[in-house]
Amino acid sequence: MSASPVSMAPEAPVSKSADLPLKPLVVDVLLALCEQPQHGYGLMKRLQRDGQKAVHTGPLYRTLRDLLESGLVEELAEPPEGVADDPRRGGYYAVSAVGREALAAELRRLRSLVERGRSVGVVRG
Amino acid sequence: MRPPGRRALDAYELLLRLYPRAFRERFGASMMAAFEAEQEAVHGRGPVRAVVFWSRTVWATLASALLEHVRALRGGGPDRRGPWRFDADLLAELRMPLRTLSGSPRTSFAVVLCIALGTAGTSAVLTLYSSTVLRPLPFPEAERLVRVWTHERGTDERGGLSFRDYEDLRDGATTLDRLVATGRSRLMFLGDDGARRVEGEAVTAGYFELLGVRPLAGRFFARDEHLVGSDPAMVLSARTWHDRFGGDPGLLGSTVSTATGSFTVIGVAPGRFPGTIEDDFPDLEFWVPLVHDQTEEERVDRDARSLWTIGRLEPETELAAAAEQVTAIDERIVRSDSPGDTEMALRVEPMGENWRADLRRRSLALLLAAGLLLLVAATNAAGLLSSRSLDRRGEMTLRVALGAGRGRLVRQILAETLILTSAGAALGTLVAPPLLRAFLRLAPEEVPAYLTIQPDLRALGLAAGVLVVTALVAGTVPALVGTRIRPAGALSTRGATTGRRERSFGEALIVAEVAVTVVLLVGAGLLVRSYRSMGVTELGYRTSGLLKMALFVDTVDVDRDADLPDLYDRVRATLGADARVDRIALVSPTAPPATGGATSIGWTGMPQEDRERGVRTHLHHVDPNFLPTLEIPIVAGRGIEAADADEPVPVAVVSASVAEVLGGADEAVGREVEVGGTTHRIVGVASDVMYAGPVLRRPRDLDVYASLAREPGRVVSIVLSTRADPSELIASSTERLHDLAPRSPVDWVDPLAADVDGDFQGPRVYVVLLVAFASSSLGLTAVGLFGTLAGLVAKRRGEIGIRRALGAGRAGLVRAVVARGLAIAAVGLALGSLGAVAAAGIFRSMLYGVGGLDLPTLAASAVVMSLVAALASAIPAVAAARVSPVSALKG
Repeated sequence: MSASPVSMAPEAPVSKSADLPLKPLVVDVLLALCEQPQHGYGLMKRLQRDGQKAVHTGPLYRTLRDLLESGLVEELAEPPEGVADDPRRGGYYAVSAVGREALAAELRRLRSLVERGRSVGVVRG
Repeated sequence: MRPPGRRALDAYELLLRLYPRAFRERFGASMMAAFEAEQEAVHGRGPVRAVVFWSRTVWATLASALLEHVRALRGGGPDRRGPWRFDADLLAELRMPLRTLSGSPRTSFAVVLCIALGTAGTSAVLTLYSSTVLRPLPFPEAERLVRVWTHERGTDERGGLSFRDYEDLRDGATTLDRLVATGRSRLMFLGDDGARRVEGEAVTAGYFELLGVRPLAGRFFARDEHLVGSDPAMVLSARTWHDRFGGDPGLLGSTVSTATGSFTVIGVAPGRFPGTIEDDFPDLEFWVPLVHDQTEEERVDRDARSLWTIGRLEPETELAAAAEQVTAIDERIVRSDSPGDTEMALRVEPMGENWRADLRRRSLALLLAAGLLLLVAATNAAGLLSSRSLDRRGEMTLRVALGAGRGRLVRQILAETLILTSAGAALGTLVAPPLLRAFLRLAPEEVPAYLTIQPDLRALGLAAGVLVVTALVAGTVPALVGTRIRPAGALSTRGATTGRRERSFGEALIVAEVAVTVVLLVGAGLLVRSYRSMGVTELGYRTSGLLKMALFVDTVDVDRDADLPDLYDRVRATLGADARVDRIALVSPTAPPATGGATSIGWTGMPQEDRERGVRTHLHHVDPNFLPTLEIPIVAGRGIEAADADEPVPVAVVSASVAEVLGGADEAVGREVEVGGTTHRIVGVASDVMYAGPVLRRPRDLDVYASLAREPGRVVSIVLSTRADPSELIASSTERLHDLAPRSPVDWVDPLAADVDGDFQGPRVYVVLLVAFASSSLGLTAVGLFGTLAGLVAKRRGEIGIRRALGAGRAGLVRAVVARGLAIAAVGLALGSLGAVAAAGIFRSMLYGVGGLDLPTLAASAVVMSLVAALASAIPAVAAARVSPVSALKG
């Protein structure tokens, strides 16, 4: 675990220089999980609905695993309220506090990019 | 029945095993659930979607499992760079291997070529096999379609049913949801340009509906159009509609005149539907209701068995149940009606089995050959890659010593191997379709036109997968072993010769390749020999310089049979007027390599048992020119002569097999035999020939030649002998015949040699493929042997230099290296010969005229293999001899 800068210093703001930008897929996963904790398949469906091109089971779970290990995402001990548990579905995943920070940092970065684009007239409105 | 998705889940479960255990245990169940949901969304939405879905799933799983393993090898901890930077990293890691690969272009090229060749060759065969033999026929619920045959006990022959048989089955077989009968129909279309003989199919009610065929234009037959006394209706094939009637929609409702009456055209069948006459797969031009193609006699004669059937099993009914019921009906009704035929029984079979059984049998050897080629290609790729990674152990250990992580090295080697193998597989995938098309052009396969032979994705995937996995293992395992070496120990061995064990591993691979190649060479050699032995000399008659055609004499042209000989004379005169024609021979009904229907033969003193069973013979009515023109020798007595027309008792010349039954050639002359209900006096014996052509295999042929002048036939075949190219005579001869008898069609016009050649089309594709495989395999083995010996020479350059310095001669060195190569080949040869003996049984099934175990072929294969091995060894040997003592010692 020592190699992950995120888990090493969870209380510190997420390092902006080294770890950003997040991969687009990571951003989408984090956003989807912020909306509602999900199991793997639900996440997949959500991403597809959001216009992400086909995400495959294998790559998705690899991403999830990386996010779990770097502490951006955590597995819930119990299914979220109001959801009938389906044991086959496996774990439910939710965004951790660190994950929210990382996502916020990335979104800020994106916003600053958009603002720069606006200042040079590439983007309007 | 298992739920449809079950198999898919099983398959995915297997795929999941590709992931490292830890990953699988953590996410496996949940991934399965996700996959199940995904799969359900795709299920039932067509084969294209399924293929796309599966190839994406397989590819995504392979890639992510590989990455996951790499990660586990790197120490299993979380990604040091976190989850966000992998892409750029991977690119950087690809740059290095690309540089390394271009540094050794020859090995890289050889590996790519190996995998491409193996992929393309194997997938071509698998495609051919799956599209002709495995895939369901393109009809709705094809797996439930069956045919009922009359089966002669103890043979593999399938015969047709009579209309009475058909009615009994249709009414009695409750296991069959539907049963239709079809028959070959021949009509003479009468048009402004004269008479044309066309082939079509006569069918009973529900035929098109059973096969799920929809009309291209118009409609198909209504129920009442199948009734006796209805107006004759006709459906045309799309091709005839376009070619003969200009695709005119106005044709529907108009009539087509034929020699037997006029038919109203009511519809056009779609172009891709070729009908269901599946013995010689003719180009059918029309369909008519069976009732308008049958005589009253054929409808009631129990023994007129010329109809084929197609039925559909009731849902949930097994073939065995239908078979049982058909047998019961057969015993209860059919046999009681024709008690003489105890050797016949009705048999139910899946539709298509009559042509698939033979294909399946012949494909077995081909599949074996494809498997062997794949083996050789995989072995070769493995050999090349493993020796390469062994060579690089020095480099690897140096890099470990300099602090490179093991994971990083492994990843690099993996990436290199992956690049090579994917390039090979991609190349093979590109080459496979044109290769298959080329094969099929070279040797068209005799299958129904509704089968489309298109590259099969699964076949490609399987072949490429085997090769890629083999190559990946071969390319990386030695490297993995290599990097475990402790730097200090490994560095000290750097530059020394390769270890004995590793060298013998490479040589063992070559031995295996040689062995497999020998098996392939023997197989190909046997097939070529078999193919040649089917050739002209064995037929027993001349085929070159002969043109044949058949004249179907219409009653409008010649009213009375007694006037036929007069027409024959005019045919001889008009065709003989062409200076290019040397000789004209006439035979009724058919000239070789085709024969008319069989008839029975009998003689006084014939064993009772034979008399009951009926001995089948073919009766040919010939003119005096026939036997000499075809160069069929007379072995006793005389041939047919002009005066035979007036003999009080009809005379006959019999084939040697008939004479043998009668007690020998000399005994037979003068005896009387009853053929086709007429007593003939034997005046001569001709040698045995394969009258019906080379492919139909029979234990023996009984042929009887009688005088055509005495018994003239309305179907008469004309054989023209010429020194010119026979096909040059076709146009003028058919025109002359047309002028002579305008209402009588001319058909079956072919040079005799071309017709015989046509009979080989089926077997030819196998010969072509097997020869191609054997030569590919030979080439690959040569490359492998060359590579191994070249590597040996390169590694022992120093040693060779020392030996040169100590006075070893060049000739001695050349001999030593070639001897090494030949020794490897010899071991392989010995093993391969054993393999060829073991495979003899499989070869035998597709051979004709040679046994499965043929010493000359084996010897020839051994010689070819040894020559190639010597050549492959010669180049490295010369390189060894060129090593200068000084330069070698310096190096």
